[in-house]
Amino acid sequence: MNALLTAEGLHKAYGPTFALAGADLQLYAGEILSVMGPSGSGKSTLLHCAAGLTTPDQGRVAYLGRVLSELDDVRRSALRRREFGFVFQFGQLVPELTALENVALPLRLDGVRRKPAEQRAAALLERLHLSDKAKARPGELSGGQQQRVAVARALVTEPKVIFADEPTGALDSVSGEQVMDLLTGAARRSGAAVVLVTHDARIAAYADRGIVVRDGRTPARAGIR
Amino acid sequence: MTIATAFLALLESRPRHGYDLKQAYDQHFGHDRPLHYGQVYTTLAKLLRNGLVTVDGDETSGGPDRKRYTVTEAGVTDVQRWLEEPETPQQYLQSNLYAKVIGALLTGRSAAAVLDAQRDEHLTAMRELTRRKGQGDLADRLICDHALFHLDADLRWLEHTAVHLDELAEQVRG
Amino acid sequence: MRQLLTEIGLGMRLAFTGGRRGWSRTLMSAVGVALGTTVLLLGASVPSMLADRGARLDSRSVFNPQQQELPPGDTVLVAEIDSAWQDVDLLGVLLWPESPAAPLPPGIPAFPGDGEMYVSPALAGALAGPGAEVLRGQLPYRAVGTITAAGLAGPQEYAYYAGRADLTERVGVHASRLARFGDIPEAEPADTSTYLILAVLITTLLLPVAIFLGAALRFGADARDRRLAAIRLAGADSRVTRRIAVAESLVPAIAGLILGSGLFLLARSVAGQISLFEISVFPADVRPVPLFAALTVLIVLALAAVMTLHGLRGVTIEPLGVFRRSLVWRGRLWWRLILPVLGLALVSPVFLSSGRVSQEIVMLGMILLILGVVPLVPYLIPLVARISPGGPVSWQLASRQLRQNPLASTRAVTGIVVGVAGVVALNSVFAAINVRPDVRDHPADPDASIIGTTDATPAAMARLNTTFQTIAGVRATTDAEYMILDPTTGWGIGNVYVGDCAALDVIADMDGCADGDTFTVGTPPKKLPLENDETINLPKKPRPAVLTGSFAQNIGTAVLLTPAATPAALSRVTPGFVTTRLRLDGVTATETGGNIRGVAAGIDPFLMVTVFVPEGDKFAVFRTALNLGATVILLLIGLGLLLDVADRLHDRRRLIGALAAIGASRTTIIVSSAAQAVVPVVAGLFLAVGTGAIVGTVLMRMDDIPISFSPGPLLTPVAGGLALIIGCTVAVLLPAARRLTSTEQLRQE
Repeated sequence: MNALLTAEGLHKAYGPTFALAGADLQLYAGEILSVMGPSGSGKSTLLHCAAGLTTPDQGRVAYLGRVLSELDDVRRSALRRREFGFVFQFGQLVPELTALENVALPLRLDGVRRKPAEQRAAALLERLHLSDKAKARPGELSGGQQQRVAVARALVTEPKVIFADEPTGALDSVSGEQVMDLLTGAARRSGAAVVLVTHDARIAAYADRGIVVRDGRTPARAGIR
Repeated sequence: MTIATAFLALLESRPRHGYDLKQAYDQHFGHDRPLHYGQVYTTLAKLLRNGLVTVDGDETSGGPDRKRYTVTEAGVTDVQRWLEEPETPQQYLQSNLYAKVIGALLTGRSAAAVLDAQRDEHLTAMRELTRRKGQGDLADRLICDHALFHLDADLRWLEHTAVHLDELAEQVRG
Repeated sequence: MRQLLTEIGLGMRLAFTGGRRGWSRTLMSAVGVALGTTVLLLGASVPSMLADRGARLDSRSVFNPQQQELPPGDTVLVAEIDSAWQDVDLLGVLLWPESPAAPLPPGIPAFPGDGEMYVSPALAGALAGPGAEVLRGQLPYRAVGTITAAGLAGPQEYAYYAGRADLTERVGVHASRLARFGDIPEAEPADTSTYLILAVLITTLLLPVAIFLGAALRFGADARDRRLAAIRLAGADSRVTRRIAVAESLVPAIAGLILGSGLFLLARSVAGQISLFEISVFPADVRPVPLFAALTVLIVLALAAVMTLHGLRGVTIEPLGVFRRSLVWRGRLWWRLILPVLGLALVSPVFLSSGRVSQEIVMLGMILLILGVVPLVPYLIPLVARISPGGPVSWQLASRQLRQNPLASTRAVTGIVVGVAGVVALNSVFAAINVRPDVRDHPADPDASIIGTTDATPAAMARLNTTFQTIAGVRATTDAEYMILDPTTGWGIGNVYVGDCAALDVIADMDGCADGDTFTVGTPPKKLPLENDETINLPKKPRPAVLTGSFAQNIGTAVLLTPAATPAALSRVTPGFVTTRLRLDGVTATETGGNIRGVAAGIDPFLMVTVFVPEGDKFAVFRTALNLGATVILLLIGLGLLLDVADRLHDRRRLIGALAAIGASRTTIIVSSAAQAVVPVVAGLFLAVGTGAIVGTVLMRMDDIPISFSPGPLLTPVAGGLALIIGCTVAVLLPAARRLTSTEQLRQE
């Protein structure tokens, strides 16, 4: 089976410090892949590179045969808009927009008119049992509710890949569980693959498969010799 | 917790037939290991002998399935004592995982690889538990969570140890 | 006490340890404080400036109510000549001592000899400058020295002391005898209203400074707050953290005080070269009153502390982090209208009543109007944002932000709005002055008039005409004016004007005129009683005429006589006025005003020359000052705006990164951020133009200038403000957007 997304030999440095020093990643359609590692290991950078948010210094990322670094900003943005969804730890919802408008935002950015975009967003919120929060602004929601809205926003474009970076990092374990149930359940139903960056093994356990980043590398398993 | 204590707790809520008892036990306490009928009979016999349960008057004849058991005053006291006594936290001072790490270091094999292999195993187990959790009811979820938290603790220990491996190797070989 | 010192020390150290943003913040705040300090110190010096100037004016006063009775002795003969050079007052004092012990006026070492003069440094400069030849016409004296500061109102004053022996022939007519200079105080003491206006003016000037200071102190405040949170974690309570924050702001405040004092000294050293409203001051006059100087220090320190505490409003610094309560935005209108309504009420007498109105109250009203826009702007912004709820997503983001949090978006803008409103008001007034650049009562009136001679013979009058017509572009006519008296009461009931046809044509409309004609306005009696108990007969066959221009406002009768129709008896009567009226043809008063005055002085130094049209651009200096001030204020506010936009982007960088991640293009984010900056400005500028126009109208009414608006002066400041915003926004946004939308902002710090 061919990988949906392939990242090979990624290097990335921020100033003198290396975030990635030869990391690989393969993502297959519909699978949930966890990326684990201690903090500072480079796992977020790996996600950013894989999603085309950051261009690696070395190595290449290909999505369905298209090399992300060879796309210009407009195309890469369009790709992110249509094929990818994102859930971050926090600070991703626009505080002035309602939950509904936040969910509709990626569609609107893709040129969908306001009404149909908000109708689709409303339908999705309904499916995710968030209808009663549609009119609320992020500031009026709990952390868990905000993340569920963020999940809805990530799903609204029916993406092929959802990139989730510590989606439960700011939540207590019960809210975190709810968000993860929602994210993985919805991803499986829609057939989206998920790249799940976390330092928390219990969150990583939602994945089908996991890789570990250590010191900017994703070392291959060595035998016990 | 013993099967006997569990039975007493179940009977304190209401009198039950032997069959009910087994069902209730399996539901709340048994999980992966349902009781054999033999265990039910022997346990009940022991409880009767010690005066912790009685059999309802008219239904003394027949097998244990036919009989209805009621908890006695002494039985209730037994349950009370069990709940009042906190469980001793497990010390986990004898760890197989640690032993394997030392073993690898002593024999010059890769302790990191041992840890990696263990992590894979733990994660596989956690994924399985998480999947089960998703399908079960609240009781199942909490049981699975208990296991998950423990495995998570192990994993954290694995990560923690991985950082100190070099230092540890020096001490072991030193 | 030691505890407090520790806190202050800690806070002051924080001012230097904030990294690049921390440094910019300290530096910018220091600049803001410095400007505030300069303004306040200059304000604190106004009392001493006024006092010194008043003292000098008093000491040279030649006013002497008992001049008639004073016998010759150790006395001096003096005559003051008020003239002008290029529309700036030119004071001439003619002197002739009657004894070697005669009192010497302040500022000159000795009496000038006959035909000699001492000149002020500014007049010496003018005598060396362009057009000096024309100016010399008024000053037929040889300069022998310079008047020192003691004899001058200010360094830019045009003044001369000239010696004239022929003053002895003019005693009691033009010249008076003086035993002592500075006998009677001349300058009016500054009253409380002067200080009131000064206080309000300083407040107005301080407002942009405070706004800028607020922006500067807010810049990088998030990093400061995190540092304070760390201090709280170490055990400080919330009051201690606030004190530390205030102490941190002391560093820029003190640096600003030092810098501001330097700026003040610099301003003081150039003060002698600047003249506003014909008032100039010597650097030595610019001394802050000690009490006010002390107050300045207090105000500046308090301002920094208050702006810091204001910035901490809605921020809770907890040991584990900083929480920003979004202050609930209450868009209540009523209290925002208090200032504008009060202002309108105070200026309304200008429009409603025709009588005298209190200048001070109207001034206060105008300042209230200008200040009143400040609270109105935040109310207006959400309204504007609501106009178009649809539109692209960039507008949706911008309009939501504007509606939810209009205060944040308008902080820097209010300064611009106030500045622009003030500039619009003053600019429109200057423009109106330029449109109708004369002070004649009636457009049909002549451009200038000269009075002062009493010789009404046709030959003398013709000589005056010829003399003035030697100036290119000047047409001169001369008429003599006698008063017709009521025989019983002795009151004036009309005038007899004598002049040739050209002269009469200037003051009346007649159907044809030839020498020998007589014209009447109204119905004068057959016998005309005049002064000196003379009576003349009204010549035969008078024809009716109509007075023109401002003469038409004379309600009495008038008799117009051509020379041939003039009865001989009239030569025995001294005319009330012999007036030479000048029409400028193809030249401006700016070009010929000096010549006219020179020619007049050549005939008689005591001739009174009145030029009704401007001889120079009186407001040129002020306009320059206004433009300079407006530029500085706008630049200051622009800098504040820059900091504000940068800070807002910094605050929202994670969100912007997330937006970029989900596919928002750079254009969307730039357009949205730009709209957030530009929309409040546009809304504010509308308000500014409206307020400025009202204040401008008030000013025009007050100065009796016909109300007119031309788009140029109205829109130039607006365009300037707009360009500033767009420039600043682009300057910050473009580089920032590249950085922010690179999605690297998602990285954990």
